[in-house]
Amino acid sequence: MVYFMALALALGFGVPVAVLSAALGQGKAAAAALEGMARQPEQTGRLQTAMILALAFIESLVIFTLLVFFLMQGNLPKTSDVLSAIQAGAGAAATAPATR
Amino acid sequence: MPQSHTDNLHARQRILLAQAETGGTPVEGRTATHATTEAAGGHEEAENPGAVPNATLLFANSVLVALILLGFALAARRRAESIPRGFQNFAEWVVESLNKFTVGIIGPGGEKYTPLVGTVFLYIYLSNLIGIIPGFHSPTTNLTITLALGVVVFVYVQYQGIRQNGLVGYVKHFMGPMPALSPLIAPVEIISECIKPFTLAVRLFGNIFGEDVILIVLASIGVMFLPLHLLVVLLAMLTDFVQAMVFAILTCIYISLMSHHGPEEHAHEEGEGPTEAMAHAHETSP
Repeated sequence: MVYFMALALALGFGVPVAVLSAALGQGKAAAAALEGMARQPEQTGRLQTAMILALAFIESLVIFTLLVFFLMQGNLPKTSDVLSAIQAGAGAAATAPATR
Repeated sequence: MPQSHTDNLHARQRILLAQAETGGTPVEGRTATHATTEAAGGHEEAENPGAVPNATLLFANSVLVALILLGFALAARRRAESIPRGFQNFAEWVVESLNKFTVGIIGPGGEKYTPLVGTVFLYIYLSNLIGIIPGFHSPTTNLTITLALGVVVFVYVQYQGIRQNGLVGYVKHFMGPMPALSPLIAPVEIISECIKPFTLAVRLFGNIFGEDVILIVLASIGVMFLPLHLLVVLLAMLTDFVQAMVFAILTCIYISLMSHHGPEEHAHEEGEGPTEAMAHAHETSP
């Protein structure tokens, strides 16, 4: 049970942490690009292309984390299975004296 | 539109069920048991959105994409005139833009790479877009198909590297700038070269599969006349284009890295850079 709890927590926190760092990085990239475009509006085309490229690179790191999420997500049990297991465990504990 | 997406879902459920009965792969078996318990229970919930799509169906869709591109090419060449009009004009604009794009990154000798880069870009863009149409599925939502694209680009880049630099030059390319440092640099260079097809594949797969999952989840939340996922469809069309462009840009960059002159030689290609602009301004002022 601890395994499933740890797995659920890890899956819950994995992608958001990656998204947080990616958001910071993408903000810096976009800020630099926008500042360059404000200084030299005639270079907007090249700067925009470079900005899109940088954003896609940073985003792809988040996508790797999402891939790990999808890979690990299969190991999580279904809620109905867990609930029936808990009920079965509670039923067994009710009929038999607790050993602890 | 949500109705057609739930029809889409049920088609997928049916396919996964059939696969489970014939004993599919472990991934599909897991989600198919989920689908069978749901179907046996009698309620029609959405299937597991994280289910990896069926490879045979996606291969059929990718053949369809290839046929569409072929049809486009053949239709553009029909009664070709030297002053193009109509459909031929549009096709020539597409090819010219791809040519400019490739030459802009690789440099003056880049025209010979336009066929590969252009085909990769158009194939990926069309494959991504076709998943938005109900009834069709994007081939790029399968890691196998994107990995195939990555391997094609990888083999082509290595082949170009060997052809341009010769075998000795190609091996020296991995040694780094100084021969004294090569025991340190060579493993890093080789690993980073071998990981390129995987990063290309996973980036494309993750983006397109992820947006597919988002569309499915949003479509199953919305009710019939409130299609919640329509805005995300517009965003999906943008990311399709961006991912195709990123794949093409990376292909061009890997090709240009192999021939030892990097992008810095081509700063004069698209007009002046900022330093040259300032130098010209200082020259012309009295």
